[in-house]
Amino acid sequence: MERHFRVLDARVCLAGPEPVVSPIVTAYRRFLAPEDPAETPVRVRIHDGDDGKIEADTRVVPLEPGWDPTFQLYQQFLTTVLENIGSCAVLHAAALVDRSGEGFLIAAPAGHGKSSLTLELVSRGYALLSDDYAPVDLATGTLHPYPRAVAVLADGDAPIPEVFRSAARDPSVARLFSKSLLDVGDLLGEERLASNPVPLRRVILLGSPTTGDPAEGFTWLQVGALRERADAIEAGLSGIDGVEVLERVDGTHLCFWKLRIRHDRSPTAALTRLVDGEGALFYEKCWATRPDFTGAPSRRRAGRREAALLLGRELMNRGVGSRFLARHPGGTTEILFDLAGALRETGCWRVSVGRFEETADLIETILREPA
Amino acid sequence: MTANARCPRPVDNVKYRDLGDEFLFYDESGDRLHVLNGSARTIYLFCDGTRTEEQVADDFAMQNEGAADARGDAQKVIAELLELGLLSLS
Repeated sequence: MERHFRVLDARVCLAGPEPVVSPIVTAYRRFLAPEDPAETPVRVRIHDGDDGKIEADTRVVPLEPGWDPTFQLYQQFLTTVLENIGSCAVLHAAALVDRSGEGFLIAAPAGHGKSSLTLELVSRGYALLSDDYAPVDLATGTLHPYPRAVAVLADGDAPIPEVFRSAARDPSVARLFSKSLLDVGDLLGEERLASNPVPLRRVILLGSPTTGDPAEGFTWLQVGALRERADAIEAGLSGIDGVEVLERVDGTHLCFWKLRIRHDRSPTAALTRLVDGEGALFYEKCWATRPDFTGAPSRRRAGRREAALLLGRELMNRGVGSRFLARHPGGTTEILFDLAGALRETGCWRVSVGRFEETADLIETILREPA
Repeated sequence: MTANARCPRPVDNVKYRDLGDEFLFYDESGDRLHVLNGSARTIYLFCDGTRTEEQVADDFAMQNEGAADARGDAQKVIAELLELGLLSLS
């Protein structure tokens, strides 16, 4: 199977055996594009079997035995897509459109209810731009759609609207990593899926008293890389003040670390240079403790620079070699500067999550007030 | 013309962003960001090339009646911004 995708200004061709490729095609259905002889796409291809590998642009990554090949292919596909988006900063955040047609972001560390709250707001009538990756044009402060299918765990304990849970339980629905892939437009009507860019007017940053202020304290990170680079990466990690290696797991071809990052030591820049420079294949934030969802939610105004700093940590396409980074010769400092500038017309809030419905109500209250 | 008769004004070709509550400057040479908080931002905005340093300090003090040493604060901020190359005297 071979399919072509256009994701903003990235042009990617994905190929491989249909059972492996098709869940990714389903997830990215709305990005499918006809092959264009005038354009040369970046190619991602999986060769399965005993000596399986994934060729992703100029990278060759061996397939880790015992791991879902679709998962591994998806990691490389996503990395390739993000590396080739140069026109926008892709933030790890949900993006929706409020009732006046303006855009708002919901950003949060994993496990803080971002996806559940996003689906709840969609069920309350807000149009979805994206549930996970929010492209922002930093020059204009415009939020662009990223209509990947929403991945829902049918029998998970996260509170999600019944319309999504019922659809997720349908055995005929495609699945990716055990999650059901749901298209909001198909499920609730095309008007619930925003297809045009909108001005960004509000940023909502979720946090929780039990996990600490994301601007302070700790972040836990999982990093994966080829085993042949593992020793160089581990030596580098031990030299960064503020990074603690909690665990290392060696697979056949890959190596994984769980790290604890102390923000008061400001290790992010050095860590990013190391993992990007040594060719880490992926990294993902995780949390050691769950937020407290039993209390009353609360909010406070946040400064735009404060919001930019937090959003900048969730920037998905700033890796070494990425087109977006190439457009910012000043690196992450310049990106932070431009990201803060993109927020100059926005209102920013820190929301401490609590009981689910009340947290969604609080977000709606914010949306009704002047930005 | 004495130095005090010259008027501080923003330097051309400096990248800046006005966030409303703060001003950000991007210093390409040092790969740094300079942040002006509320008061410093106000003083910087007064430095539009039409007021001398004394006039900027007076205007800031008038706007901040009751502040302990508003004139002194304004003069310090202007000196620092001149040192950083974010303002020049014309």
